[in-house]
Amino acid sequence: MLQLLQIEWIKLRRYRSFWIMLALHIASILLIASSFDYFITKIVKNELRKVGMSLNLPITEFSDVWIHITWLAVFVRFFLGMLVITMITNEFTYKTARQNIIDGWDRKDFLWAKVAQVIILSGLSTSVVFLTCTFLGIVSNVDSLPYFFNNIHYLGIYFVQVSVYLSFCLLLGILIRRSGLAIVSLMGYSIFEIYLLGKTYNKSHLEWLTYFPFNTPLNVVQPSFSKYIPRSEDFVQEIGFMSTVPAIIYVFVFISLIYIFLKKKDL
Amino acid sequence: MESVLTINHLSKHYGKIKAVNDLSFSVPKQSVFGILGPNGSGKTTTLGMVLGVINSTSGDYKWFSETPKASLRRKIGAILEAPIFYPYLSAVDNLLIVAKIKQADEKNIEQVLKTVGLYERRNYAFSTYSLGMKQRLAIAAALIADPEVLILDEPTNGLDPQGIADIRNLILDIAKQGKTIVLASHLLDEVEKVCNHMVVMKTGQLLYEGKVADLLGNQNSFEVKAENIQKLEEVAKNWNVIHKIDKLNHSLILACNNDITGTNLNKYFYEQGIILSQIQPHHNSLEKKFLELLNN
Ligand SMILES: Nc1ncnc2c1ncn2[C@@H]1O[C@H](COP(=O)(O)OP(=O)(O)O)[C@@H](O)[C@H]1O
Ligand SMILES: [Mg+2]
Repeated sequence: MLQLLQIEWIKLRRYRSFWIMLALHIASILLIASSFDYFITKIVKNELRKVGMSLNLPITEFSDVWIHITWLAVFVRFFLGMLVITMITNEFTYKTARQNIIDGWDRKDFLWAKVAQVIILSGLSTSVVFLTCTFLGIVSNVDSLPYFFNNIHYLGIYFVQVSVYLSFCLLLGILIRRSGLAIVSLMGYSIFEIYLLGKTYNKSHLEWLTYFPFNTPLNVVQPSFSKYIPRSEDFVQEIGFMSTVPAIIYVFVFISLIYIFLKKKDL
Repeated sequence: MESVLTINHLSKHYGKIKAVNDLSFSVPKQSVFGILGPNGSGKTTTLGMVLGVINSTSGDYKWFSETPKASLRRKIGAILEAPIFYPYLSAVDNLLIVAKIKQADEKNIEQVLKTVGLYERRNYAFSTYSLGMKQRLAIAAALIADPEVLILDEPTNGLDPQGIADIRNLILDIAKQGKTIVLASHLLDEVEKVCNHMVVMKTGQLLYEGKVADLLGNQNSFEVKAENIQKLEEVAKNWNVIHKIDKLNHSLILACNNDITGTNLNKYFYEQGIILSQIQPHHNSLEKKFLELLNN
Protein backbone atom coordinates (compact mmCIF):
# COMPACT_ATOMS: atom_id res chain seq x y z
CA MET A 1 0.00 0.00 0.00
CA LEU A 2 2.83 2.37 0.84
CA GLN A 3 4.31 1.57 -2.56
CA LEU A 4 1.01 2.46 -4.26
CA LEU A 5 0.83 5.76 -2.41
CA GLN A 6 4.42 6.64 -3.29
CA ILE A 7 3.57 6.17 -6.94
CA GLU A 8 0.41 8.27 -6.67
CA TRP A 9 2.44 10.97 -4.94
CA ILE A 10 4.94 11.10 -7.82
CA LYS A 11 2.00 11.48 -10.21
CA LEU A 12 0.54 14.40 -8.26
CA ARG A 13 3.40 16.29 -6.68
CA ARG A 14 4.22 18.30 -9.80
CA TYR A 15 0.64 18.56 -11.06
CA ARG A 16 -0.32 22.19 -10.71
CA SER A 17 -4.13 21.77 -10.76
CA PHE A 18 -3.81 19.44 -7.79
CA TRP A 19 -2.18 22.13 -5.67
CA ILE A 20 -4.53 24.84 -6.90
CA MET A 21 -7.68 22.92 -6.03
CA LEU A 22 -6.31 21.79 -2.70
CA ALA A 23 -5.34 25.38 -1.90
CA LEU A 24 -8.80 26.64 -2.89
CA HIS A 25 -10.43 24.07 -0.63
CA ILE A 26 -8.29 24.94 2.39
CA ALA A 27 -8.57 28.68 1.75
CA SER A 28 -12.37 28.36 1.63
CA ILE A 29 -12.43 26.60 4.98
CA LEU A 30 -10.26 29.32 6.51
CA LEU A 31 -12.41 32.02 4.95
CA ILE A 32 -15.59 30.45 6.28
CA ALA A 33 -14.14 30.06 9.72
CA SER A 34 -12.84 33.61 9.91
CA SER A 35 -15.99 35.30 8.65
CA PHE A 36 -18.61 33.05 10.23
CA ASP A 37 -19.05 35.01 13.41
CA TYR A 38 -19.30 38.29 11.54
CA PHE A 39 -21.98 37.15 9.09
CA ILE A 40 -24.14 35.28 11.56
CA THR A 41 -24.12 38.22 13.92
CA LYS A 42 -25.14 40.52 11.06
CA ILE A 43 -27.89 38.24 9.83
CA VAL A 44 -29.51 37.48 13.13
CA LYS A 45 -28.83 40.86 14.71
CA ASN A 46 -32.39 42.07 14.40
CA GLU A 47 -33.85 38.87 15.68
CA LEU A 48 -31.56 39.02 18.64
CA ARG A 49 -32.44 42.63 19.39
CA LYS A 50 -36.12 41.70 19.44
CA VAL A 51 -35.64 39.15 22.15
CA GLY A 52 -33.23 41.44 23.94
CA MET A 53 -30.18 39.21 23.69
CA SER A 54 -26.51 40.03 23.62
CA LEU A 55 -24.93 40.12 20.19
CA ASN A 56 -22.07 37.96 21.35
CA LEU A 57 -23.27 34.46 20.71
CA PRO A 58 -20.92 31.61 21.64
CA ILE A 59 -21.18 30.14 18.15
CA THR A 60 -17.44 29.84 17.67
CA GLU A 61 -16.65 28.61 21.15
CA PHE A 62 -16.24 25.05 22.23
CA SER A 63 -18.17 22.93 21.77
CA ASP A 64 -20.50 24.55 19.24
CA VAL A 65 -17.61 25.48 16.96
CA TRP A 66 -17.45 21.84 15.81
CA ILE A 67 -21.11 21.83 14.83
CA HIS A 68 -21.03 25.08 12.94
CA ILE A 69 -17.77 24.87 11.05
CA THR A 70 -18.21 21.26 9.92
CA TRP A 71 -21.67 22.12 8.68
CA LEU A 72 -20.32 24.93 6.51
CA ALA A 73 -17.13 23.19 5.41
CA VAL A 74 -19.22 20.47 3.77
CA PHE A 75 -20.24 23.01 1.15
CA VAL A 76 -16.68 23.58 -0.06
CA ARG A 77 -15.82 19.90 -0.56
CA PHE A 78 -16.67 20.67 -4.18
CA PHE A 79 -13.04 21.69 -4.81
CA LEU A 80 -11.85 18.31 -3.57
CA GLY A 81 -14.46 16.67 -5.79
CA MET A 82 -13.07 18.43 -8.84
CA LEU A 83 -9.60 17.38 -7.79
CA VAL A 84 -10.60 13.72 -7.53
CA ILE A 85 -12.44 13.81 -10.86
CA THR A 86 -9.48 15.45 -12.61
CA MET A 87 -7.06 13.01 -11.03
CA ILE A 88 -9.01 9.93 -12.14
CA THR A 89 -10.12 11.11 -15.61
CA ASN A 90 -6.53 12.12 -16.40
CA GLU A 91 -5.60 8.47 -16.07
CA PHE A 92 -8.04 7.68 -18.85
CA THR A 93 -7.43 10.64 -21.15
CA TYR A 94 -3.67 10.12 -20.95
CA LYS A 95 -4.29 6.32 -21.10
CA THR A 96 -1.91 5.96 -18.18
CA ALA A 97 -4.36 3.68 -16.34
CA ARG A 98 -3.80 1.26 -19.19
CA GLN A 99 -0.03 1.67 -19.02
CA ASN A 100 0.02 1.18 -15.22
CA ILE A 101 -1.66 -2.22 -15.73
CA ILE A 102 0.65 -3.14 -18.62
CA ASP A 103 3.64 -2.23 -16.47
CA GLY A 104 2.57 -4.64 -13.76
CA TRP A 105 -0.24 -3.33 -11.60
CA ASP A 106 -3.28 -5.45 -10.95
CA ARG A 107 -6.57 -3.62 -11.54
CA LYS A 108 -7.06 -3.94 -7.79
CA ASP A 109 -3.82 -2.03 -7.20
CA PHE A 110 -5.18 0.79 -9.31
CA LEU A 111 -8.44 0.74 -7.33
CA TRP A 112 -6.74 0.79 -3.94
CA ALA A 113 -4.35 3.55 -4.98
CA LYS A 114 -7.32 5.74 -5.85
CA VAL A 115 -9.46 4.79 -2.85
CA ALA A 116 -6.53 5.48 -0.55
CA GLN A 117 -6.23 8.94 -2.03
CA VAL A 118 -9.90 9.62 -1.38
CA ILE A 119 -9.48 8.58 2.24
CA ILE A 120 -6.29 10.63 2.64
CA LEU A 121 -7.86 13.73 1.11
CA SER A 122 -10.85 13.36 3.41
CA GLY A 123 -8.51 12.97 6.35
CA LEU A 124 -6.49 15.98 5.28
CA SER A 125 -9.60 18.12 4.97
CA THR A 126 -10.80 16.90 8.36
CA SER A 127 -7.45 17.81 9.89
CA VAL A 128 -7.67 21.30 8.44
CA VAL A 129 -11.15 21.68 9.90
CA PHE A 130 -9.89 20.33 13.23
CA LEU A 131 -7.00 22.78 13.43
CA THR A 132 -9.16 25.67 12.29
CA CYS A 133 -11.85 24.92 14.88
CA THR A 134 -9.28 24.44 17.63
CA PHE A 135 -7.71 27.79 16.84
CA LEU A 136 -11.07 29.52 16.47
CA GLY A 137 -12.40 28.03 19.70
CA ILE A 138 -9.39 29.08 21.71
CA VAL A 139 -9.31 32.58 20.25
CA SER A 140 -13.04 33.05 20.80
CA ASN A 141 -13.03 32.01 24.40
CA VAL A 142 -10.23 30.27 26.22
CA ASP A 143 -12.58 29.48 29.05
CA SER A 144 -14.58 27.19 26.80
CA LEU A 145 -11.62 24.80 26.52
CA PRO A 146 -13.03 22.36 29.06
CA TYR A 147 -15.80 21.63 26.53
CA PHE A 148 -13.25 20.80 23.82
CA PHE A 149 -14.30 17.17 23.55
CA ASN A 150 -18.01 17.77 23.59
CA ASN A 151 -19.41 17.27 20.11
CA ILE A 152 -15.99 16.53 18.68
CA HIS A 153 -17.64 13.57 16.94
CA TYR A 154 -18.89 16.09 14.40
CA LEU A 155 -15.41 15.83 12.88
CA GLY A 156 -16.07 12.12 12.33
CA ILE A 157 -19.35 12.89 10.64
CA TYR A 158 -17.60 15.45 8.48
CA PHE A 159 -14.95 12.90 7.51
CA VAL A 160 -17.59 10.39 6.42
CA GLN A 161 -19.48 12.99 4.48
CA VAL A 162 -16.40 14.10 2.53
CA SER A 163 -15.42 10.46 1.92
CA VAL A 164 -18.80 9.50 0.51
CA TYR A 165 -18.75 12.54 -1.74
CA LEU A 166 -15.24 11.85 -3.03
CA SER A 167 -15.97 8.15 -3.60
CA PHE A 168 -18.94 9.23 -5.67
CA CYS A 169 -16.61 11.52 -7.67
CA LEU A 170 -14.26 8.59 -8.21
CA LEU A 171 -17.14 6.48 -9.50
CA LEU A 172 -18.29 9.27 -11.82
CA GLY A 173 -14.78 9.71 -13.17
CA ILE A 174 -14.41 5.99 -13.87
CA LEU A 175 -17.83 5.75 -15.50
CA ILE A 176 -17.61 8.88 -17.63
CA ARG A 177 -13.85 9.07 -18.17
CA ARG A 178 -14.03 12.67 -19.38
CA SER A 179 -13.40 15.37 -16.83
CA GLY A 180 -15.72 18.08 -18.21
CA LEU A 181 -18.71 15.79 -18.46
CA ALA A 182 -18.01 14.22 -15.07
CA ILE A 183 -17.79 17.61 -13.34
CA VAL A 184 -21.02 18.77 -14.98
CA SER A 185 -22.74 15.55 -13.85
CA LEU A 186 -21.47 16.07 -10.33
CA MET A 187 -22.86 19.60 -10.27
CA GLY A 188 -26.15 18.41 -11.73
CA TYR A 189 -26.52 15.76 -9.05
CA SER A 190 -25.51 18.13 -6.27
CA ILE A 191 -28.12 20.64 -7.41
CA PHE A 192 -30.71 17.87 -7.43
CA GLU A 193 -29.97 17.04 -3.80
CA ILE A 194 -29.88 20.68 -2.79
CA TYR A 195 -33.25 21.09 -4.48
CA LEU A 196 -34.66 18.21 -2.46
CA LEU A 197 -33.16 19.75 0.63
CA GLY A 198 -34.78 23.11 -0.10
CA LYS A 199 -38.12 21.51 -0.80
CA THR A 200 -38.32 19.70 2.46
CA TYR A 201 -36.65 22.29 4.60
CA ASN A 202 -38.76 23.43 7.52
CA LYS A 203 -40.86 20.34 7.25
CA SER A 204 -40.63 17.68 9.86
CA HIS A 205 -39.93 14.69 7.66
CA LEU A 206 -36.34 15.49 6.81
CA GLU A 207 -35.21 12.09 7.79
CA TRP A 208 -35.63 10.30 4.48
CA LEU A 209 -33.32 12.86 2.90
CA THR A 210 -30.44 11.52 4.94
CA TYR A 211 -30.65 8.36 2.88
CA PHE A 212 -29.31 10.18 -0.15
CA PRO A 213 -25.56 9.78 -0.47
CA PHE A 214 -24.52 13.40 -0.13
CA ASN A 215 -26.80 14.17 2.76
CA THR A 216 -25.97 12.91 6.15
CA PRO A 217 -27.88 14.60 8.95
CA LEU A 218 -24.97 17.01 9.16
CA ASN A 219 -26.24 19.17 6.35
CA VAL A 220 -29.85 18.12 6.46
CA VAL A 221 -30.31 19.26 9.99
CA GLN A 222 -29.26 22.87 10.00
CA PRO A 223 -27.63 24.13 13.16
CA SER A 224 -30.26 25.80 15.22
CA PHE A 225 -29.46 29.10 16.87
CA SER A 226 -32.63 29.11 18.84
CA LYS A 227 -30.91 27.11 21.51
CA TYR A 228 -29.14 30.30 22.52
CA ILE A 229 -32.49 31.85 23.34
CA PRO A 230 -33.43 31.25 26.94
CA ARG A 231 -36.61 29.34 27.51
CA SER A 232 -36.82 28.50 23.82
CA GLU A 233 -39.21 25.71 23.13
CA ASP A 234 -37.51 24.68 19.91
CA PHE A 235 -36.44 21.13 19.85
CA VAL A 236 -32.69 20.99 19.39
CA GLN A 237 -31.70 17.98 17.36
CA GLU A 238 -28.43 16.39 18.29
CA ILE A 239 -26.68 14.35 15.65
CA GLY A 240 -24.90 11.20 16.68
CA PHE A 241 -22.17 9.42 14.76
CA MET A 242 -24.53 6.50 14.13
CA SER A 243 -26.45 8.73 11.75
CA THR A 244 -23.62 8.32 9.24
CA VAL A 245 -24.26 4.60 8.81
CA PRO A 246 -26.14 5.02 5.50
CA ALA A 247 -23.28 7.16 4.16
CA ILE A 248 -20.70 4.57 5.17
CA ILE A 249 -22.74 1.94 3.35
CA TYR A 250 -22.73 4.19 0.29
CA VAL A 251 -18.93 4.37 0.41
CA PHE A 252 -18.75 0.58 0.25
CA VAL A 253 -21.34 0.42 -2.52
CA PHE A 254 -19.46 3.00 -4.59
CA ILE A 255 -16.12 1.26 -4.15
CA SER A 256 -17.66 -2.08 -5.11
CA LEU A 257 -19.21 -0.52 -8.22
CA ILE A 258 -15.85 1.02 -9.15
CA TYR A 259 -14.23 -2.37 -8.73
CA ILE A 260 -16.81 -4.07 -10.94
CA PHE A 261 -16.45 -1.46 -13.68
CA LEU A 262 -12.66 -1.52 -13.54
CA LYS A 263 -12.69 -5.29 -13.81
CA LYS A 264 -15.22 -5.55 -16.65
CA LYS A 265 -14.13 -2.70 -18.86
CA ASP A 266 -11.27 -2.76 -21.31
CA LEU A 267 -8.74 -0.10 -20.49
CA MET B 1 11.53 -25.19 -28.14
CA GLU B 2 10.75 -23.35 -24.94
CA SER B 3 8.21 -20.59 -25.42
CA VAL B 4 7.67 -17.41 -23.41
CA LEU B 5 4.11 -16.81 -24.58
CA THR B 6 1.50 -19.32 -25.65
CA ILE B 7 -1.82 -18.15 -27.04
CA ASN B 8 -4.69 -20.65 -27.13
CA HIS B 9 -7.81 -20.08 -29.24
CA LEU B 10 -7.94 -16.46 -28.19
CA SER B 11 -10.87 -14.35 -29.44
CA LYS B 12 -12.13 -10.82 -28.96
CA HIS B 13 -15.45 -9.81 -30.43
CA TYR B 14 -16.84 -6.30 -30.39
CA GLY B 15 -20.46 -7.00 -31.23
CA LYS B 16 -20.28 -8.31 -34.77
CA ILE B 17 -16.67 -7.29 -35.30
CA LYS B 18 -14.35 -10.21 -34.72
CA ALA B 19 -11.23 -8.23 -33.90
CA VAL B 20 -9.39 -11.42 -33.00
CA ASN B 21 -10.83 -14.76 -33.98
CA ASP B 22 -9.65 -18.09 -32.57
CA LEU B 23 -5.98 -17.18 -32.61
CA SER B 24 -3.31 -19.62 -31.49
CA PHE B 25 0.45 -19.36 -31.69
CA SER B 26 3.46 -19.33 -29.43
CA VAL B 27 6.53 -17.16 -29.17
CA PRO B 28 9.81 -19.10 -28.86
CA LYS B 29 12.27 -17.95 -26.24
CA GLN B 30 14.97 -15.58 -27.49
CA SER B 31 13.32 -15.10 -30.86
CA VAL B 32 12.65 -11.78 -32.51
CA PHE B 33 9.04 -12.46 -33.23
CA GLY B 34 7.07 -10.45 -35.77
CA ILE B 35 3.30 -10.06 -35.81
CA LEU B 36 2.64 -8.89 -39.32
CA GLY B 37 -0.72 -7.75 -40.62
CA PRO B 38 -2.42 -4.80 -42.26
CA ASN B 39 -4.08 -2.11 -40.15
CA GLY B 40 -7.10 -3.43 -38.32
CA SER B 41 -5.99 -7.06 -38.47
CA GLY B 42 -6.09 -7.42 -34.69
CA LYS B 43 -2.44 -7.04 -33.68
CA THR B 44 -3.00 -4.42 -30.99
CA THR B 45 -6.10 -6.21 -29.71
CA THR B 46 -4.11 -9.44 -29.37
CA LEU B 47 -1.30 -7.72 -27.49
CA GLY B 48 -3.84 -5.82 -25.34
CA MET B 49 -5.33 -9.14 -24.25
CA VAL B 50 -2.04 -10.78 -23.37
CA LEU B 51 -1.02 -7.64 -21.47
CA GLY B 52 -4.15 -7.73 -19.33
CA VAL B 53 -5.82 -4.53 -20.49
CA ILE B 54 -8.39 -6.01 -22.87
CA ASN B 55 -10.67 -8.75 -21.59
CA SER B 56 -10.84 -11.65 -24.02
CA THR B 57 -14.16 -13.02 -25.27
CA SER B 58 -12.81 -16.56 -25.14
CA GLY B 59 -9.59 -18.50 -25.11
CA ASP B 60 -6.56 -18.07 -22.90
CA TYR B 61 -2.84 -17.46 -22.88
CA LYS B 62 0.14 -18.25 -20.74
CA TRP B 63 3.26 -16.26 -19.94
CA PHE B 64 6.35 -18.31 -19.11
CA SER B 65 4.03 -21.36 -18.92
CA GLU B 66 2.14 -19.75 -16.04
CA THR B 67 -1.43 -18.54 -15.68
CA PRO B 68 -1.29 -14.78 -16.28
CA LYS B 69 -1.10 -12.44 -13.30
CA ALA B 70 0.11 -8.93 -12.64
CA SER B 71 3.48 -9.95 -11.25
CA LEU B 72 4.37 -11.73 -14.51
CA ARG B 73 3.84 -8.48 -16.41
CA ARG B 74 6.62 -6.90 -14.37
CA LYS B 75 9.01 -9.18 -16.25
CA ILE B 76 7.74 -7.81 -19.57
CA GLY B 77 8.52 -4.45 -21.08
CA ALA B 78 5.69 -3.33 -23.34
CA ILE B 79 4.46 -0.43 -25.40
CA LEU B 80 1.00 -0.64 -26.93
CA GLU B 81 0.23 1.55 -29.96
CA ALA B 82 1.83 4.80 -28.79
CA PRO B 83 4.13 5.96 -26.00
CA ILE B 84 2.02 6.62 -22.92
CA PHE B 85 3.29 8.89 -20.16
CA TYR B 86 2.15 11.65 -17.83
CA PRO B 87 2.65 14.68 -20.11
CA TYR B 88 3.41 17.15 -17.34
CA LEU B 89 6.11 14.96 -15.76
CA SER B 90 9.77 14.74 -16.77
CA ALA B 91 11.35 11.63 -18.25
CA VAL B 92 12.91 10.87 -14.87
CA ASP B 93 9.63 11.12 -12.95
CA ASN B 94 7.82 9.07 -15.57
CA LEU B 95 10.45 6.37 -15.42
CA LEU B 96 10.38 6.49 -11.63
CA ILE B 97 6.69 5.56 -11.75
CA VAL B 98 7.38 2.66 -14.12
CA ALA B 99 10.35 1.49 -12.03
CA LYS B 100 8.26 1.51 -8.85
CA ILE B 101 5.39 -0.39 -10.49
CA LYS B 102 7.82 -2.94 -11.86
CA GLN B 103 9.70 -3.03 -8.55
CA ALA B 104 12.89 -2.41 -10.47
CA ASP B 105 16.04 -0.77 -9.17
CA GLU B 106 15.67 2.99 -9.53
CA LYS B 107 19.36 3.23 -10.40
CA ASN B 108 18.46 1.74 -13.80
CA ILE B 109 16.78 5.00 -14.79
CA GLU B 110 20.02 6.75 -15.60
CA GLN B 111 21.28 3.73 -17.50
CA VAL B 112 18.23 3.30 -19.77
CA LEU B 113 18.04 7.03 -20.46
CA LYS B 114 21.61 6.85 -21.72
CA THR B 115 20.86 3.74 -23.79
CA VAL B 116 18.13 5.55 -25.72
CA GLY B 117 20.01 8.85 -25.84
CA LEU B 118 17.65 10.94 -23.73
CA TYR B 119 19.88 11.58 -20.75
CA GLU B 120 20.50 15.22 -21.63
CA ARG B 121 16.78 15.94 -21.81
CA ARG B 122 15.81 13.90 -18.76
CA ASN B 123 14.40 16.79 -16.75
CA TYR B 124 12.15 18.19 -19.45
CA ALA B 125 8.42 17.48 -19.41
CA PHE B 126 7.29 14.61 -21.65
CA SER B 127 4.92 16.96 -23.49
CA THR B 128 7.90 18.90 -24.87
CA TYR B 129 9.38 15.82 -26.59
CA SER B 130 9.36 15.12 -30.31
CA LEU B 131 7.69 11.93 -31.52
CA GLY B 132 11.03 10.19 -31.92
CA MET B 133 12.02 11.10 -28.37
CA LYS B 134 8.68 9.84 -27.08
CA GLN B 135 9.21 6.50 -28.82
CA ARG B 136 12.69 6.27 -27.37
CA LEU B 137 11.43 7.08 -23.88
CA ALA B 138 8.87 4.31 -24.30
CA ILE B 139 11.65 1.88 -25.13
CA ALA B 140 13.60 3.14 -22.12
CA ALA B 141 10.55 2.45 -19.93
CA ALA B 142 10.17 -1.00 -21.42
CA LEU B 143 13.82 -1.75 -20.65
CA ILE B 144 13.87 -0.43 -17.11
CA ALA B 145 13.31 -3.70 -15.28
CA ASP B 146 15.76 -5.56 -17.53
CA PRO B 147 12.81 -7.61 -18.84
CA GLU B 148 12.97 -11.05 -20.37
CA VAL B 149 10.47 -10.06 -23.03
CA LEU B 150 10.04 -6.80 -24.90
CA ILE B 151 6.77 -6.07 -26.70
CA LEU B 152 6.76 -3.30 -29.26
CA ASP B 153 3.62 -2.33 -31.16
CA GLU B 154 4.40 -0.32 -34.31
CA PRO B 155 7.47 1.26 -32.70
CA THR B 156 8.47 3.23 -35.80
CA ASN B 157 5.05 4.65 -36.61
CA GLY B 158 5.29 8.23 -37.75
CA LEU B 159 9.07 8.48 -37.54
CA ASP B 160 11.40 9.88 -40.20
CA PRO B 161 13.90 7.52 -41.90
CA GLN B 162 16.65 8.38 -39.43
CA GLY B 163 14.32 7.76 -36.49
CA ILE B 164 13.23 4.46 -38.02
CA ALA B 165 16.83 3.36 -38.50
CA ASP B 166 17.70 4.35 -34.91
CA ILE B 167 14.83 2.38 -33.44
CA ARG B 168 15.60 -0.69 -35.56
CA ASN B 169 19.22 -0.67 -34.52
CA LEU B 170 18.15 -0.32 -30.93
CA ILE B 171 15.89 -3.37 -31.31
CA LEU B 172 18.64 -5.42 -32.93
CA ASP B 173 21.06 -4.43 -30.15
CA ILE B 174 18.57 -5.50 -27.51
CA ALA B 175 17.94 -8.79 -29.33
CA LYS B 176 21.67 -9.52 -29.21
CA GLN B 177 21.46 -9.49 -25.41
CA GLY B 178 19.35 -12.62 -25.59
CA LYS B 179 15.97 -11.04 -24.92
CA THR B 180 12.81 -12.17 -26.61
CA ILE B 181 11.24 -9.42 -28.68
CA VAL B 182 7.70 -9.33 -30.02
CA LEU B 183 7.26 -6.75 -32.74
CA ALA B 184 3.84 -5.94 -34.20
CA SER B 185 3.95 -4.10 -37.49
CA HIS B 186 2.08 -3.52 -40.70
CA LEU B 187 5.42 -2.96 -42.44
CA LEU B 188 6.84 -6.01 -44.17
CA ASP B 189 10.16 -4.38 -44.54
CA GLU B 190 10.40 -3.93 -40.80
CA VAL B 191 9.56 -7.53 -39.97
CA GLU B 192 11.85 -8.77 -42.73
CA LYS B 193 14.79 -6.73 -41.47
CA VAL B 194 14.39 -7.35 -37.77
CA CYS B 195 12.55 -10.61 -37.09
CA ASN B 196 13.43 -14.27 -37.36
CA HIS B 197 10.03 -15.76 -36.48
CA MET B 198 6.65 -14.40 -37.39
CA VAL B 199 2.94 -14.80 -37.71
CA VAL B 200 0.87 -13.14 -40.40
CA MET B 201 -2.60 -11.98 -39.39
CA LYS B 202 -5.59 -10.87 -41.40
CA THR B 203 -9.00 -9.85 -40.04
CA GLY B 204 -8.21 -11.33 -36.67
CA GLN B 205 -7.07 -14.69 -37.98
CA LEU B 206 -3.75 -16.42 -38.36
CA LEU B 207 -2.54 -16.87 -41.94
CA TYR B 208 1.00 -18.04 -41.43
CA GLU B 209 3.24 -19.01 -38.59
CA GLY B 210 6.89 -19.89 -38.94
CA LYS B 211 10.38 -18.70 -39.58
CA VAL B 212 10.85 -15.62 -41.70
CA ALA B 213 13.50 -17.49 -43.68
CA ASP B 214 11.06 -20.27 -44.50
CA LEU B 215 8.51 -17.89 -45.91
CA LEU B 216 11.24 -16.27 -47.96
CA GLY B 217 12.95 -19.48 -48.93
CA ASN B 218 10.15 -21.65 -50.27
CA GLN B 219 10.84 -20.39 -53.74
CA ASN B 220 14.12 -21.21 -55.43
CA SER B 221 15.03 -18.23 -57.63
CA PHE B 222 18.23 -16.86 -59.09
CA GLU B 223 19.18 -13.58 -60.63
CA VAL B 224 21.47 -14.08 -63.64
CA LYS B 225 23.33 -11.82 -66.06
CA ALA B 226 25.14 -12.44 -69.36
CA GLU B 227 26.58 -10.39 -72.27
CA ASN B 228 23.92 -11.67 -74.63
CA ILE B 229 20.77 -11.46 -72.61
CA GLN B 230 18.41 -12.42 -75.49
CA LYS B 231 20.22 -15.68 -76.04
CA LEU B 232 20.23 -16.33 -72.30
CA GLU B 233 16.48 -15.88 -72.24
CA GLU B 234 15.94 -18.19 -75.20
CA VAL B 235 17.96 -20.97 -73.66
CA ALA B 236 16.29 -20.52 -70.33
CA LYS B 237 12.85 -20.77 -71.91
CA ASN B 238 13.67 -24.11 -73.37
CA TRP B 239 14.93 -25.64 -70.17
CA ASN B 240 12.18 -27.48 -68.33
CA VAL B 241 13.55 -27.03 -64.78
CA ILE B 242 12.86 -23.30 -65.13
CA HIS B 243 9.20 -22.54 -64.73
CA LYS B 244 9.18 -18.78 -64.67
CA ILE B 245 11.30 -15.99 -66.12
CA ASP B 246 11.07 -12.37 -64.99
CA LYS B 247 12.97 -9.71 -66.92
CA LEU B 248 14.76 -6.94 -65.07
CA ASN B 249 16.80 -4.19 -66.77
CA HIS B 250 20.01 -6.08 -67.33
CA SER B 251 19.26 -9.41 -65.76
CA LEU B 252 16.73 -12.22 -65.54
CA ILE B 253 15.05 -13.76 -62.54
CA LEU B 254 14.77 -17.51 -63.01
CA ALA B 255 12.36 -19.46 -60.83
CA CYS B 256 13.72 -23.00 -60.79
CA ASN B 257 12.80 -26.38 -59.41
CA ASN B 258 13.81 -26.80 -55.81
CA ASP B 259 16.74 -29.14 -56.49
CA ILE B 260 18.50 -26.69 -58.83
CA THR B 261 21.56 -24.92 -57.43
CA GLY B 262 23.67 -22.07 -58.76
CA THR B 263 26.30 -24.58 -59.86
CA ASN B 264 23.72 -26.48 -61.95
CA LEU B 265 22.73 -23.27 -63.70
CA ASN B 266 26.29 -22.20 -64.35
CA LYS B 267 27.20 -25.56 -65.80
CA TYR B 268 24.12 -25.84 -68.00
CA PHE B 269 24.43 -22.36 -69.53
CA TYR B 270 28.17 -22.88 -70.06
CA GLU B 271 27.37 -26.05 -72.00
CA GLN B 272 24.89 -24.03 -74.08
CA GLY B 273 27.66 -21.53 -74.89
CA ILE B 274 26.61 -18.81 -72.51
CA ILE B 275 28.99 -17.34 -69.96
CA LEU B 276 27.09 -16.04 -66.95
CA SER B 277 28.65 -12.81 -65.74
CA GLN B 278 26.64 -12.90 -62.55
CA ILE B 279 24.58 -15.46 -60.66
CA GLN B 280 23.02 -14.96 -57.23
CA PRO B 281 20.09 -16.32 -55.24
CA HIS B 282 17.06 -14.09 -55.57
CA HIS B 283 14.72 -13.61 -52.62
CA ASN B 284 11.25 -13.14 -53.77
CA SER B 285 10.42 -10.05 -51.76
CA LEU B 286 8.43 -10.63 -48.62
CA GLU B 287 6.06 -7.97 -49.75
CA LYS B 288 4.96 -10.05 -52.71
CA LYS B 289 4.65 -13.12 -50.51
CA PHE B 290 2.72 -11.17 -47.98
CA LEU B 291 0.32 -9.86 -50.57
CA GLU B 292 -0.09 -13.38 -51.93
CA LEU B 293 -0.96 -14.61 -48.46
CA LEU B 294 -3.41 -11.83 -47.87
CA ASN B 295 -5.17 -12.33 -51.16
CA ASN B 296 -5.83 -16.02 -50.73
N1 LIG C 1 -12.87 -0.81 -28.69
C1 LIG C 1 -13.21 -1.28 -29.91
N2 LIG C 1 -14.50 -1.31 -30.28
C2 LIG C 1 -14.85 -1.80 -31.50
N3 LIG C 1 -13.99 -2.26 -32.41
C3 LIG C 1 -12.69 -2.24 -32.10
C4 LIG C 1 -12.23 -1.75 -30.84
N4 LIG C 1 -10.89 -1.87 -30.81
C5 LIG C 1 -10.52 -2.38 -32.00
N5 LIG C 1 -11.61 -2.61 -32.77
C6 LIG C 1 -11.60 -3.20 -34.12
O1 LIG C 1 -10.90 -4.40 -34.06
C7 LIG C 1 -10.13 -4.60 -35.24
C8 LIG C 1 -8.69 -4.84 -34.90
O2 LIG C 1 -8.08 -3.66 -34.41
P1 LIG C 1 -6.56 -3.59 -33.96
O3 LIG C 1 -6.30 -4.70 -33.02
O4 LIG C 1 -6.31 -2.22 -33.44
O5 LIG C 1 -5.77 -3.82 -35.30
P2 LIG C 1 -4.24 -3.56 -35.63
O6 LIG C 1 -3.52 -3.27 -34.37
O7 LIG C 1 -3.80 -4.80 -36.29
O8 LIG C 1 -4.21 -2.40 -36.57
C9 LIG C 1 -10.37 -3.36 -36.09
O9 LIG C 1 -11.36 -3.67 -37.04
C10 LIG C 1 -10.86 -2.35 -35.13
O10 LIG C 1 -11.72 -1.44 -35.75
MG1 LIG D 1 -2.36 -1.55 -33.95
